[in-house]
Amino acid sequence: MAVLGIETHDLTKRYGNQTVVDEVNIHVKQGEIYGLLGRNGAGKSTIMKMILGLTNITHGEITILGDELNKYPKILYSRIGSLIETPGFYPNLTGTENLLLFSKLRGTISKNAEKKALETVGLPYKDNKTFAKYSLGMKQRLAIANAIIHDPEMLILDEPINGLDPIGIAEMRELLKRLSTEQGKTILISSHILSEISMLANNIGIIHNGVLLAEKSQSELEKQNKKYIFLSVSSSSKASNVLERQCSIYEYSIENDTDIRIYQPDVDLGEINRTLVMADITVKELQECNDSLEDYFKKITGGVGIA
Amino acid sequence: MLNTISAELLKYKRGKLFLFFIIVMAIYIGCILSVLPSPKQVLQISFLELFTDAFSFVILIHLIVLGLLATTIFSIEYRHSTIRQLFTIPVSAKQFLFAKIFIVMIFSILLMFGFAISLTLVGFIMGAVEMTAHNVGMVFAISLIDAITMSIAIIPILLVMIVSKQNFFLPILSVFVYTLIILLPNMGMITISNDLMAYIFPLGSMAVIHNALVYNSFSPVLPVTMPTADWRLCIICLCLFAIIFSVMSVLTLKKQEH
Repeated sequence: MAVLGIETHDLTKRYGNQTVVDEVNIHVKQGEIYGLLGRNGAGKSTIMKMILGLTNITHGEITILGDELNKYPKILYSRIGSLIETPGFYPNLTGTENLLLFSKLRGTISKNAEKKALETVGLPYKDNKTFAKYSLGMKQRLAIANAIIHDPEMLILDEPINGLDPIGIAEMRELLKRLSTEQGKTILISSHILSEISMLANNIGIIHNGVLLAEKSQSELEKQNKKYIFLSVSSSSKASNVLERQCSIYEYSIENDTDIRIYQPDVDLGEINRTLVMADITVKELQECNDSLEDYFKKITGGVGIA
Repeated sequence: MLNTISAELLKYKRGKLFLFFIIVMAIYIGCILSVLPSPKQVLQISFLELFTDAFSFVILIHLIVLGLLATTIFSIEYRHSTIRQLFTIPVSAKQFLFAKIFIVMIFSILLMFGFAISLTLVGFIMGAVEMTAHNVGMVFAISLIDAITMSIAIIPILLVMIVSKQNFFLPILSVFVYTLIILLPNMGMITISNDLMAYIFPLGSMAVIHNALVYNSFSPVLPVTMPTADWRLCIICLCLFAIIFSVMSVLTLKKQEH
């Protein structure tokens, strides 16, 4: 059995009587991107902080690259690059100076590491602009540069696309994919943006109120997600009568006054359209769909979507 | 540790530390000038008396300055969330604390040297007596030792700063209270012997070490008395306080959530 990049065993965090992370077991495979998905306050950042030693663990264990974290923290942390919540840098220093400072503290970093890291994230090298004058997007990029500067085997990134513009988000996505596929880096990323996690991650963990509800690979999710026909009509109650009586369709769900989802396999879209129109029901939309990650998220969290 | 210290020094580039230094130096020079006797009162100014008189003011200001500096350099790490980056590198809590103490000590030494240079210049300009190479050298040596003992003596209040994180009020208040405690027995506000104070309070120990140095260096030229408390024991007490509070600070840093 292959050694996992990160593994947690019954990871729990309590503040008094309040449990913010409840016996979470995540399994991050080496060289893959693991997306931790959950609403704000679900416990994603707390899990990452516990892995990085920024928050004390109430109960449970963390294993990094096969080694127990509490046995070799210094060695294991030097193999990790991280970004937790807001990027923390010295406002009076430039981006290059900030990277130089953290490189000094890391000790063993090649000469051109700062230049290479800044180029990778698209920031200028030896710019005169101090960190205080950076935009939120630039701050986020600098934080990523700082996370990758020492060429770590693993990245732990908490909401890394926060503050980035749409082009920046796409560039960040490509960068993280490249780091994973070309350099084999293991990436644990958290986000409340479903579409990003869906596009990036090989494996997804869904966390809600501190509980890990599901942990699945993208392929498992694709297989599991049901196919259905989405139907938008002038009146869903009238349309449901017609569907049952005239088309013998019984496997469906009414979403609202106008939308219906038909889950019954092998139905003829043309016939449904014709029958509804003949019954004087306006058909606004009729198409074959797959359940999305958002649908799955809604289903297992028992609530509304998050983005 | 060297990397931590050199990174610590880099943090203050473009900061206001230099301006702070200039302002404090101006205050120290003001203290020296304020204790200068008028030419009507004395025929000649004594360099050693100038030193002891000015020092009695400078010591209080210096302790407050060091406390304020320490508060600033600790709170920036919390305010800018850089402490999170530092601890994930990982910089240990011990390295973090000692790099900060080192910066406070360097600043303390520079300020005290600035004080000694200013004092020598004022003495020279005013044509002070007792300005022998030995006396000037001893003033510099005592200033250096005082600078180190004062930066060690403020270690207990670093714990307050760490506990307070980015909150300024409590650490600054504690700096003032801590500094003024040393004056309480002399002001008759508490009845405690100076000897006991020297063993149970770091600033008391520091004062005894300073007075013993002045006595051994300048007596009988300068009319000073040897402190009754044992200065060697005071060094041990000062170091013990520093170790105990450093350990407590490191444990607090380790326990803190970032």
